[in-house]
Amino acid sequence: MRFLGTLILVLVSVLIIFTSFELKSWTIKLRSEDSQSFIKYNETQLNENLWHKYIKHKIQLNLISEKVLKINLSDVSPEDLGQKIKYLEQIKYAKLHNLELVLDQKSKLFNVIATITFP
Amino acid sequence: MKKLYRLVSPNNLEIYTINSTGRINLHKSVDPLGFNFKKIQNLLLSSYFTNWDTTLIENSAYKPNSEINMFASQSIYESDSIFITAPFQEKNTGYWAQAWAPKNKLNPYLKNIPKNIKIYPEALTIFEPTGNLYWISGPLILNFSKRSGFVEVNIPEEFTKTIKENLNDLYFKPRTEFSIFKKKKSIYVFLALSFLAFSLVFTWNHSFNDFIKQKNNPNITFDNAISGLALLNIIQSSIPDGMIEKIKFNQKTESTVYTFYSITEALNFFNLASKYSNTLIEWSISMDKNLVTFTKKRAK
Repeated sequence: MRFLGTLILVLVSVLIIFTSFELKSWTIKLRSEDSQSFIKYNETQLNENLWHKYIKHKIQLNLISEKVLKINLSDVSPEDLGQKIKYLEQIKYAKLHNLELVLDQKSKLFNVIATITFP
Repeated sequence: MKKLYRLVSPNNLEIYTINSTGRINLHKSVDPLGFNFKKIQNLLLSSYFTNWDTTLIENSAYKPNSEINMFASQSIYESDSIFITAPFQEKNTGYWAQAWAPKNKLNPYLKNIPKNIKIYPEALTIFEPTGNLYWISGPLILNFSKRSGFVEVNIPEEFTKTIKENLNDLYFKPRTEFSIFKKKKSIYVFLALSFLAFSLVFTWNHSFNDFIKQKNNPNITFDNAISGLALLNIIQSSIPDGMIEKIKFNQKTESTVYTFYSITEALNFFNLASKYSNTLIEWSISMDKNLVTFTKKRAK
């Protein structure tokens, strides 16, 4: 009886650890399916590479205060402008406050400056 | 009905049945040599295999450890050569009792008994309410002592009363038992419990903590649709190329500011846009130097 009890305890423990790994991989899978999940976490929301991967353009980040971030996209062609604005409009986990479109007369390219606030 | 086996001597094993009151009745006697001990769950050892002692301790706060040998100083055996029972106190008399059994006498039987067997000393577990019945147990003649609440030994030479040859019609009270296999098992149970505790802590730190936090604090999501873009789609055909330096969408005030290179170009645009007042009914338009501002009208 005691042997059976011990065996059950060990099996339950193994099951708990297995469930833990499954839960972790499920959580990671959920995060990876959301292309904006990096904006939710303090550790990743200022990572230029992740922002570049999301907007698909060269960017510069400028942290104005602890929660306010300015995103600068330079040299955006008129053909790409609509798509870039769409990416900025679709940001889910931060509030978009301002969007400026500045035209460079010489190059006929736009600079796009967005100001967002993290919750 | 439960069965109780009494190992009387190396040549005699008695099998009793126990009724609901604890009274025992002899079923039969067998030779222990050819008997399958694996089936036994309750085994009673006669005085051939065990010894015991009793003592009165009046201090009610006395609580000995279950593994202590209370009578070690009176015993001729080394502590590692005997099995002992936990000390037991009969509450009605205040007497403490403990039994011990030399390992060398029991070893031939221990190889063949199940690990979950309960082994009792006869002297501490047999009860007889009158105290007037005498029975033989190994080399000794015993009777129940009302004074101590345990059995006592009578000297054979001076004895003249009737002596029972077995325990028929006496009572069995499983008050204390020998610790034979318990220690090893406890270690495995302890390790299994430790493993369970480790798995719980690991799971909490590895994934469950994050999962609970996520559940309790769902992410806030924002609708960042820019209303000024719809306006831009309407009026962009009215703006000649190269006139506008900058467009700024302010989501807080729901306004769009067009910055022109010159005041003249701004004025031309302002006059043109004013003609679209029916199309741009949701917007109010204003001009300041080279800036033309569209502000979304709020519902009153």
